[in-house]
Amino acid sequence: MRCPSCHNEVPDGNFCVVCGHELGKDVPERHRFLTAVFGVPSESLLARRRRFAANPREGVLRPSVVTSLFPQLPQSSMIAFRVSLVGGLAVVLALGLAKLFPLGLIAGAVLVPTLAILYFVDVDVYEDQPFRVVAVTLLWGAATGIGYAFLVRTVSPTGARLFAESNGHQLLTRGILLPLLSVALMLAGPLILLPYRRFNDALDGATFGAGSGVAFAGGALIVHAFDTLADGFRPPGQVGPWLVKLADIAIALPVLSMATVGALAGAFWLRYRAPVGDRRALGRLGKPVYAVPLACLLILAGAVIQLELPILLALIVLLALDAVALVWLRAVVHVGLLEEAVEAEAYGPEITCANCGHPTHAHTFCEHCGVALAALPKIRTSAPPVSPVPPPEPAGG
Amino acid sequence: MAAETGQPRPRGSAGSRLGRRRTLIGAGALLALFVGAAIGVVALRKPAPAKVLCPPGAPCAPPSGKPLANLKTFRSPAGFRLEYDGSTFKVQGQASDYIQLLASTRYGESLLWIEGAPSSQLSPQAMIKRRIDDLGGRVIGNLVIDARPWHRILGASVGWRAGVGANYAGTIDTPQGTADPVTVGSVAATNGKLTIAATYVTTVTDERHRRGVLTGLDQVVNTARWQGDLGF
Repeated sequence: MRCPSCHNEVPDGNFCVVCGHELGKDVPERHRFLTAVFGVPSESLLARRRRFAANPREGVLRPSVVTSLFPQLPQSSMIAFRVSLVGGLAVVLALGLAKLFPLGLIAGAVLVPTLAILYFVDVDVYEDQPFRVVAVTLLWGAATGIGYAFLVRTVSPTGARLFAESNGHQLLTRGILLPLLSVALMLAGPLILLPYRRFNDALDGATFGAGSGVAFAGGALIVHAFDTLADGFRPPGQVGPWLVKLADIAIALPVLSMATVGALAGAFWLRYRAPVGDRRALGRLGKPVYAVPLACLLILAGAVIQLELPILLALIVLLALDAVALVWLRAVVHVGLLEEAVEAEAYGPEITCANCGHPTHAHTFCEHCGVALAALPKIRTSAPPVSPVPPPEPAGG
Repeated sequence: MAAETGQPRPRGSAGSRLGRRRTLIGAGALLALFVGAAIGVVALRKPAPAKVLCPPGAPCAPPSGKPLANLKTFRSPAGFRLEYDGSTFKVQGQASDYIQLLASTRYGESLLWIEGAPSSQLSPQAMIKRRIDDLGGRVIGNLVIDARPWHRILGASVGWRAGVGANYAGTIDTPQGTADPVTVGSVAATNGKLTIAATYVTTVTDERHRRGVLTGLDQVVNTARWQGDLGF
């Protein structure tokens, strides 16, 4: 049948294997918002496809944590990651409720980084170059995060002197200068991989950036939390504010770093690795000249609101910033996956989709569930190579 | 057994490497590992319990007055003065109505903040509240009353003039993460015209060293004199 969206002749199914459009439905109304605000071309696939390429059950603009941060997980693994995230957060908050604040702090600081490590292993994201990728993403992020935390202690007081410091000085150092430095450090590692042809799509860039960002956040938070471990298992403090702080550390802060740096790195990949025709696909959000200030703004805002707002209000605003960063990351991942739709030319053999378990032709999208096949794990196996078969002739001009 | 060919399986047909069960076990194990390590660190760094030298409820600390020789003097136009040892304390900040003194040792930092205000504007209680509320903005939640019996302030006074006081505790909060636990004590007294408050913040948690630090701070507070006092 002919897809009403891309006009290719494609196998019968729920979704077009070439562009991921839901067959049997009209071409959806375009994202006018993305076009108007971010300059996304109205003819681009981002503006035309509303379902998130890595998880067609969700819209592109839905700020879902697990599907945005770990987009290459198949549906079955997604559940395990969701349970781990929610369960981990429950453990952190339970430790807080038991007034075991130092233990809650450490559990919170490692929760999302732990899931990121499992994700890297689970989907084999580093393919055949594990050392190089892990070194410049997770290890780089953790090492610079630890170094950054020590630098913070050197340039800005963390002890009693902090109480004598003026609000203006705190705002300048802890609200502006140090967060700016953190963005540069988190991004520097992944950019080392930018010249490698092996990692040539925006999804790779987003994954590397996210890995570096979350490892940085985890490393820095653990070093800072180390000082807090000096006052016994149950230091004095009110449970309510501590629970809010633990939620900050377990979810809000690492998600902000991970999503923002992931989206920023993805924008670099889109600009410098994507085919020339795709570089405008994300509008202004895909151009480093706009993406860098936006990323800095998100990280700066995250720091400033913690200085200036009451703790609960700060958490609410942080979660709103998380949502913005997650949607940006999703758009980058989405565009990265749709790029491959344009690149792929021939159908492969019939395979079993790892996401839904149904048969589909190997191309770009699963014809049953609509997931982008490039969003699924990259596992090398002993299976013999498969030869692509030519696609059916496109009907008409 | 098939030979390794290194060829990729068609993208989309490969499932995840770990699977649901191993992911859950892995996440739980890693989290437990880090929490276990944190338990070890907290146990190792936990301050030793304080030896209570005095019977509960009775002030019995040794006299902490010291000859006032070779000390630096701070005179406030607000109407008070005090003396401090320049080799122990560094002036962190000062204005006409306050001075901040910082003492740093390898066990932590301590800040002493002595300030004065007309009693018609601020009573001793109000002055303590204002300072504690202000300092509380830099800890998680707010400063809470430190209920540890060995941290109680017994016989609160400023410059040997009886007043009010209390101890508080909290954990420093910054946008970059949590930092040191602190204890804060504030005492204030008035002569009817001028209220003087002395507030300390210390990150020293080891009780033995903390006691030494507080004795040093106490000596400075005891030198405070109101305008019109003998020896002003």
